[in-house]
Amino acid sequence: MSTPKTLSPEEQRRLLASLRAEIARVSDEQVTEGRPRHLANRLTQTELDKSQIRNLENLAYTTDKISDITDLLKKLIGRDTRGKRWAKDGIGLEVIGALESLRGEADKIAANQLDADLPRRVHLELCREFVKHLAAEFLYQKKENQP
Amino acid sequence: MSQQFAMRGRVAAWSDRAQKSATGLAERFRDLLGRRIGNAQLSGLNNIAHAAVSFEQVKDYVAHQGKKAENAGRFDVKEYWDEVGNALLGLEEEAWKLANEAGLSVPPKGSKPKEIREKLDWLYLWLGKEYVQHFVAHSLMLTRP
Repeated sequence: MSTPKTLSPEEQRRLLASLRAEIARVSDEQVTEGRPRHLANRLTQTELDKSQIRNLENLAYTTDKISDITDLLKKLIGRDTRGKRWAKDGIGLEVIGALESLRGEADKIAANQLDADLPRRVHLELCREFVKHLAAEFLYQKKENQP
Repeated sequence: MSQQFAMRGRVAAWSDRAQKSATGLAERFRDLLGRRIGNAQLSGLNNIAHAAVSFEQVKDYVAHQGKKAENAGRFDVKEYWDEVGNALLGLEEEAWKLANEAGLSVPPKGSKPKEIREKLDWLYLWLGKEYVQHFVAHSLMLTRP
């Protein structure tokens, strides 16, 4: 994560450490609150397989845009003409909603910083954390549900 | 290439902001989607945007789609493509602003459009691809029965 040029190296180091700590805190809260677990549980009731969830996770970790993640989900919803995967019972839209709702936390974490793009980059990090939890829960529950 | 590398972060931030506008445009025409505008046309737009080597090619494709709709008397569809064309045209101004903010050497405002286009076509096309990706993704979602 790049930092504003006006900060001294020491200030940059402190800012990065504090951002990492805040992102880790929110990430742990995501698990405690159980939203990824709940959504993963619903995803296991669709015809989605592991590779499709891993594709989402891979994209989240390689892109520099939140919109790439939500665009992928929108395309997958659009392509699901039988309504048995991402479009089933609005699950894809709920995942998009969950990712977008992380913006508020990101804004709080990155408040009062000089870098105007920082809230967006923190939001992206929180989305990555959320998708990571979602994928882990999905894989775990899928395994648990196997006969 | 180095210019593109320098612009990467700025374009990413711009693209995340532009998603809202692209989504809004798709929503405005949601009644046409899946009925008058099919997946084939949306995929066509996406493919052209990603394969084009100049921004003019994308604008020409959109203008051509509008012309075809007009000739067929499908004026609602013509309006759709006209609005997509207007949105793409607006990206040229956005690209100029972004390039200026990044301190790239760009012809000043008031320069000949051709001169500006020659310098910034790569950025027009980049923003165009991003915008079309958002627009098509949201439209595809709306076309689902």
